[in-house]
Amino acid sequence: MPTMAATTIEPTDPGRARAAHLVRRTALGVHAERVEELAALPWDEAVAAVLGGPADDRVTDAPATDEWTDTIEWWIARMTEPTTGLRDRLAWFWHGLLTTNAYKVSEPALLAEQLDLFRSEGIGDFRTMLHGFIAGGALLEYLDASWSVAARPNENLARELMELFTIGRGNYGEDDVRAAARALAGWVVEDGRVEFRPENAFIAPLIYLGQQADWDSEMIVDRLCDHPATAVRVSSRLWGNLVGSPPDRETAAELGRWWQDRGLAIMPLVDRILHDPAFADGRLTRPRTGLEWYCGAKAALGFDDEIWYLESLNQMPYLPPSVAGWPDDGRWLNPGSLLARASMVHSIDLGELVVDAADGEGATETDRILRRCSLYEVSPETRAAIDGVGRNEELSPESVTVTRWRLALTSPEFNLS
Amino acid sequence: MTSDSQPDDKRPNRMFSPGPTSPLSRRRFIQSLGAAGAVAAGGAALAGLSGRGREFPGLGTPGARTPGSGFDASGGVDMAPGRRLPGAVDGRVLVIVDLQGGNDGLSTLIPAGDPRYYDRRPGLAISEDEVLGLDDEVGLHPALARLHRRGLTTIEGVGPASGDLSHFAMTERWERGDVRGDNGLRTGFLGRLTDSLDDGSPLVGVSMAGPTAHLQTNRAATMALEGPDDLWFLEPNDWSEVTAYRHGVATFAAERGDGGLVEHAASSFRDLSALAIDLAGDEESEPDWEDSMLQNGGELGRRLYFAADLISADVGVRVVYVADGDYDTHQDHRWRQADNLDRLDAAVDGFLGRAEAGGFADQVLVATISEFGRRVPENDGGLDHGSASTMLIAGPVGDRRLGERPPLDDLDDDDNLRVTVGFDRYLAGLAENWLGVEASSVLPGEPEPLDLI
Repeated sequence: MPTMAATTIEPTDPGRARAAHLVRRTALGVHAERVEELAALPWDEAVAAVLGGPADDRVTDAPATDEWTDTIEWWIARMTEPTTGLRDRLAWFWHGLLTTNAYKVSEPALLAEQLDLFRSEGIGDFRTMLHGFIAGGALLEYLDASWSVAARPNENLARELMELFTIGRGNYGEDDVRAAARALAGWVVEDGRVEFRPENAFIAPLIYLGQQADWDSEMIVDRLCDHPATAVRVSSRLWGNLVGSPPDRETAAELGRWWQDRGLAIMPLVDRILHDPAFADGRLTRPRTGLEWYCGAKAALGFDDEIWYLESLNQMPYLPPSVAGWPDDGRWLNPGSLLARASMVHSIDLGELVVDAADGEGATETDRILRRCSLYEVSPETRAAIDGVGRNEELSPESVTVTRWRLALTSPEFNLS
Repeated sequence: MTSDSQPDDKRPNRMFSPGPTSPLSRRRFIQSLGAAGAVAAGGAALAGLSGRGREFPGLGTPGARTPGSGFDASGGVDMAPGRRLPGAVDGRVLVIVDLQGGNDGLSTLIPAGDPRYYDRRPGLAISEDEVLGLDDEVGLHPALARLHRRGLTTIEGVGPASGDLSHFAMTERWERGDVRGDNGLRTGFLGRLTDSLDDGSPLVGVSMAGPTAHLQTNRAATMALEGPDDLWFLEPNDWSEVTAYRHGVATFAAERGDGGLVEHAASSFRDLSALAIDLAGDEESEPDWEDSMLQNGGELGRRLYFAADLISADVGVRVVYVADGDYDTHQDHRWRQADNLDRLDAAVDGFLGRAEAGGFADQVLVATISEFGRRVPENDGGLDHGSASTMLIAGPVGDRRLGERPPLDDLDDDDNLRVTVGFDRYLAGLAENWLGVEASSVLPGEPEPLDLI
């Protein structure tokens, strides 16, 4: 599949355009200050700075857990801080692959525990993370594995573990689903705690993926991590997310082998993808997803947490549309998405925010707004639209500024990554 | 999620296959663009992006089976658009009303001729002389008077195969058209219908209940709209700040000759602006909601009123999803059910009345769904989660009794009615009999369509 030509728009400032691209793809909130910092560095050093992460990008506090929405609010706040980088970006990516729906999880603490796992192991190694994910109460509840009894096991987790989380369709049969379901039986989530009940488990030899053994959950996860298809699928998906389009077949196979050889360590894979010319060249080659757009707008403008907008933007964390997660592709760019985004900028109060935010560097107000939005590749039409506000209407200066912001945040370019 | 969770405040309800929209005079409008297919091909046919079959290069292909790409979709009905049957009538619209919470079939079509009903429901039964159109065995709830006059088809015994009592799980089965809950489908049944009916119109499927997994498509253009007001900031009006925004959007929407994503976003703005203008044109006909809220069936009535506008605007809409829900009547079943059905009756009657006035009554069918029915024995004034329920169809259909009545003296282990008609057969009937879409191409397991129409 050919990669899309990046864009025919000439960057006004190639250095900053490149740095903005780097931040858009490796963080969630895109802050103008961070773009400035990275623009001052040669490309390789800028990439290295992102891979190293800002010093304070550590787990400093645990997510709040009174309600699951507290956890989400806490996470969104993290996602949009200026120092946020790969840790939360990757945690978000892993949540999109290894999904869970909050409505099926009994205790908010279980979700927070899973989020902690994605934030700590999501920059570690995939195998450890997958073990933790499968053993976590949130997933066990989500995919009906809690209270699954070997005599009549629930197949939901067994199927999705293979189909979506690891090897993918075509690499297993229905017998393997049944065998894995038995091997995964015995876990119970009660009062927020995960317990193993041997009396519910299947403790006897089973044939799974052609191999006879006393399979249990850990062995299943290890077997799937050893399977070459897992490395290919997961690394390709991460490539697609960072580069903006999926790798071609050859690149995918090679990337998978390479990653397998490195023991599924996550940061080396990210390192390799960010250093690929396809990453540097892939500017504005995919739409911003709902959450990326929200975090981008929040970082540019700093409005208070209004996380429920994420529902109308179709990307509330922990409410994926199905176990397959959200689309990670061009489907985000359509009138429905643009309508939701334009509605949001008309319903939040931009008044004081924009007046503050429109100060700063730049010859005109339009320049200053575009800079706050980290837009350094802007079509003449978009610039004209923002610039022309007030030319044909009677508007107060504040209304001009507010309208310019609304236009900038909903412009074609701001909807892209 | 426990089986008692409330769908109203907890159900995820969002649509991601977000499709587009655009407006009505749009066939003309689109022709004037001359841009369809202008983008150089190379990969994914993401028609859903624009609803008109543009090739869209470089991004992940939904449904493509690139090994290891991570984008592999489920096979079979989840991928290709369903097949139209020979002789299918064009232009028909299916309006699904989702009675959220679990509608009690026994309080919808009432077995007033069956003494066992009065034994089981000593406090909640509706007396024989109240029910409407009673034959020897059953009659309609008295709140359904208007639909009774129009002629209402009922289908009894409808539900999932070996389901459970969770709102979440059973709603998901209906959403996916997955009667056994084992097919791992990623699209919604209504989404697949929408894909099958996609003729390149700018807005084929519309949800009037927010984004929903029911309408998750692979390709076709869908959108969540709750009323004409949703596009207020793109409509001509007297507020200069909004006018300024609208002018800016018009500039965004200019053709770029770029051929890339910026052009694609611009075309989405063109579609949105045109839709806003079409809908703004209808506003003069809006009734005074304050006065007519009740007689129009409340919020449900308001949304169906808007649905009638969209259909009469001929924007290409073929599938409409709308929800209403206080059906989870664990308590106070009697008056809540009466309120619910009264609202349904008024809203659907109002919608069909507008369809008649607009000359498209023979083109619209309203069909209900609900995640499950309710317990046969009553608790203290209410009814807990059940299994089989009764579905309703209104429109160009007769006063008919379909399905197979589950016996009141042979309940399942939870004291619920046994499912006699898998809901996939009901959905299959809507697909084949009404929309002319081959059922087996949009539903797994080749269900035998009920002969509904």
